[in-house]
Amino acid sequence: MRQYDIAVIGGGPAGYIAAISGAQMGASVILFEKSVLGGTCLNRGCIPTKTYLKGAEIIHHIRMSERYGIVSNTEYSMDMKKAVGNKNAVVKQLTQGVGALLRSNGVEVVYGDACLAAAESGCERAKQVSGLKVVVCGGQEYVAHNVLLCGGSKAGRIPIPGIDHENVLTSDEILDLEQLPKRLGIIGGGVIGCEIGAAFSAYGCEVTIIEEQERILPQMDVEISESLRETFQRDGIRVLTSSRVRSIKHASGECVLVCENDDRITVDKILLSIGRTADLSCLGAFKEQIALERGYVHTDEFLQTSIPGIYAPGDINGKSMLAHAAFKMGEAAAKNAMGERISCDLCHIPGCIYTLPECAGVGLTQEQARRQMGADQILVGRFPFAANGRALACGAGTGFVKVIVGRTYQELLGVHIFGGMATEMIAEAASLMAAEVLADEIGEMIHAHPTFSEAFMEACADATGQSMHLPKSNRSPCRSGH
Amino acid sequence: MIEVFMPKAGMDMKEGTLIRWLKEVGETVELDEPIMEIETDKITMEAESPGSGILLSKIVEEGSVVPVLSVLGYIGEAGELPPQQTSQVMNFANSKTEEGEDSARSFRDAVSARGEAEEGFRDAVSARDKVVEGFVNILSSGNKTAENAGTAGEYKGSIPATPYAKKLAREKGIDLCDIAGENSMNGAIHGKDVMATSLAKRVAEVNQVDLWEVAGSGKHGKITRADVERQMQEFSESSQNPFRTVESRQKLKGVRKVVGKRMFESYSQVPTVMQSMKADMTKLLDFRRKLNEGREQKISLNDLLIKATATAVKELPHVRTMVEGDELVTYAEANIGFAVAVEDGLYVPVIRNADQLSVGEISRQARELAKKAREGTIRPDEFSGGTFSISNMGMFDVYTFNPIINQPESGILGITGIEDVLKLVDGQVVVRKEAVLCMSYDHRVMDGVGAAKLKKRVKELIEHPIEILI
Repeated sequence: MRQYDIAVIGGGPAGYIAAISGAQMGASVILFEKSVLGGTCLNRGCIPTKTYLKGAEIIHHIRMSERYGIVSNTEYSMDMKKAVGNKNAVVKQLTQGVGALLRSNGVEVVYGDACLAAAESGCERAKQVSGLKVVVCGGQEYVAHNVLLCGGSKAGRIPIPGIDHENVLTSDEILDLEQLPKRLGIIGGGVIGCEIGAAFSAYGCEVTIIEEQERILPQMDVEISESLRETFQRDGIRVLTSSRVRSIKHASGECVLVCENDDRITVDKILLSIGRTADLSCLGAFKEQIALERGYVHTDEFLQTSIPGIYAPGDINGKSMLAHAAFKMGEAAAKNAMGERISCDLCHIPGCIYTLPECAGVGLTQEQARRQMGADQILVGRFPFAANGRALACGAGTGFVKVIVGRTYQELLGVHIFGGMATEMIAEAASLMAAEVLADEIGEMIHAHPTFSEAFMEACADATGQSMHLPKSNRSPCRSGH
Repeated sequence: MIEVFMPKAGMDMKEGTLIRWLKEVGETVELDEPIMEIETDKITMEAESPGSGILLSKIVEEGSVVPVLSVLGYIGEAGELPPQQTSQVMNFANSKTEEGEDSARSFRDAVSARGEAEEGFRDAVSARDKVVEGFVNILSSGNKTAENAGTAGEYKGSIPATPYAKKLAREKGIDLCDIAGENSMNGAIHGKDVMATSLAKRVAEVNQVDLWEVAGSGKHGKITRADVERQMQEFSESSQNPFRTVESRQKLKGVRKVVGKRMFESYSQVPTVMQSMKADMTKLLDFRRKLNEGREQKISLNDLLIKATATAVKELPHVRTMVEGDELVTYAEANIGFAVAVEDGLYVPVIRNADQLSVGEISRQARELAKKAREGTIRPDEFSGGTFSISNMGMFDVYTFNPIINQPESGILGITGIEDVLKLVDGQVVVRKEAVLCMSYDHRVMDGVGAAKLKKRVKELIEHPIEILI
């Protein structure tokens, strides 16, 4: 029986990158995928939602066209079948691309549910050679020296009455709706809830977001949460915060969300987007042996589980539920499986929300920085897009760039952008933070004019007292983090 | 004579590796004939000869990485001697000598130990001798240059800097670690950004961490903030001892740093001998008391000692003599430096032609220079050009000490505190005031007798002070 150097369970961002990385190091690699390569990100998450949000952006442009002197019929309506079809075409192209990448790197791909099997039940060879791991898939056993558990995550659920109903959808199903619901209730105002809410609202749906915490996007800087909430309310999205759904009543095709404060919201469909939990099905026979932590597989800094030779990069370990973090983790895990000792640094992972306007952040929020370092140890710099030429020309004068800078070294601690092309702009901030470039240096670097990116440079200049494009009175007072 | 240099094969080529020479020293080469094989970061190629003639010397060893346009050897006519290329030699020395091998001998050893290198020199023996001599000169004449040879540029190859930055550092005699410690912005040497991140540099600067001490964990060994903080952590752990606690920690800087460096150099480089002689100060003290009667600005004992020493130094040329390269150079003036303690170190202001000045004038100048030194307003030309120095520790009751020579002078005369002693004079027990003249001298310049002669003369002047005024 063939022995693989690496067996990867799961073909999502962590898994397929791990497989390619291992293969590039000369490993023999087998990858198991239970449905379609690409994982949540490509099939049910990041990419599909981006096609929907592009639609929302186009609608936004249609609405704005009059301002630019474009005389046209600004009426529009949604053909959801086409929207789904477009989404599926994009997804297909990307997932096929992943397949081609794996093939070109010589990775063997096996389709089917796979999980770890106990070595005792495995083949003779595995018993003889200690350390060999066995993976079962479709009734067949595969033997490998290292196993990478890239099982990813699944939509989280809450045990409330009425939750298990065909009108209660998760992000897995809602993106395949071929008919737009008239009213959509969203439980959970995180990234998924806000993005899908924004898209469906633009499409013409009445959207209500119910968030348990006191603000939507609770992991982002509070100013971003507040700004997005204002935008949502202006756009007709109803946002209820500090509000918990107690039960869901279903009657004659309608759903009634009953909140703990007895608020009742009647909708046609419900999106359950309270977060994601680890998909542990790939643990198989090792379910009891592999150490877990808060429901996720526990891994060390080298992404190894409590069992040597078994690694768990990606959503499954709960370190960061982002595709780009999974890429990084997958690569590190594969290299470590091949004998390297790469500590996976997830310090400068940007987070992006593709609403209109977009939101993005990297590093510490102002609140986190204040707690960790003390308000007098941080400087805060800002620049509003209302003072940015490109933004105004684009009709995107809403929003700001905010930078949090350490007082002693002038290092960037966090960058938070609302508006502009936040999700693209954050790459510069994250890169410069990773390269440990200082805010006072960034304030002096040439940025093309007119671009949204100038706002980042200006915010850095504001933090370090070098701003030239802000009137004196608007400069951050004392630039202190209070 | 034609220089064979590392060609610039491409816009972005900054340095190249000399893989091997295709010609031997003494062989004839034609213009455009392949003379060596070089490697850039992109390709390996043969490089053509820049001219026709005989390959006279190879001054760069095979396998060396050098900046583009660096001279690698010379082509000329038979019998022609290649020029003395000190910068190339420095370069060579940098890459070849190990830490601590700073003497000419070890340089020679290092050269001969490397067959290929020697081969390049053997074929032009006279050229090699010149080269080695040049190196010796550099080492012994200017401490500054020698120090640069030790630290500038790629001396510690583990810390990356762009070739351009290294080259610039080497040319300007800049220590790369000094640059690293400074504010990283607006620096002329852009390449310095390569060795450590801006944040790492700033953390190092704020916390006074020497970046040379830090191992970089980043891509290509780049030093990151975490590396600097790890170093700080390790340092604080290693300096923890249950029996002692750190009261304060400060960077060695300013005058203290310069003094320390100069003292270390003198102490470690000069064969210093210590010699002492007692002097009877009774008459001098008496003389001073009389001189000062009615004087507003009192003449100090130090002023008189400067004058006495200057007189002796002027009379004894060997004391005004210094080693410069392979020469002994005697200077005409008796320019006397005198040590002045300042808050964080030491200055040695110089009184020029002190032998020709009146005691009153010496006193006036000494007072003014000491004041400037303490106030930090003293100018470099006011503490340079000395030919001999004194260090008077009398006011601190020092009984004996071993002053360190203020290089490149030949010696330094220390004067101790004055003690009452009982002495037999003409069979009578009398009380005399006595001090010890403690002299350190450079044994390369003078021997025991020479040093004794100086002290003897100073002692005579002290014991017959009226002569000081003559």
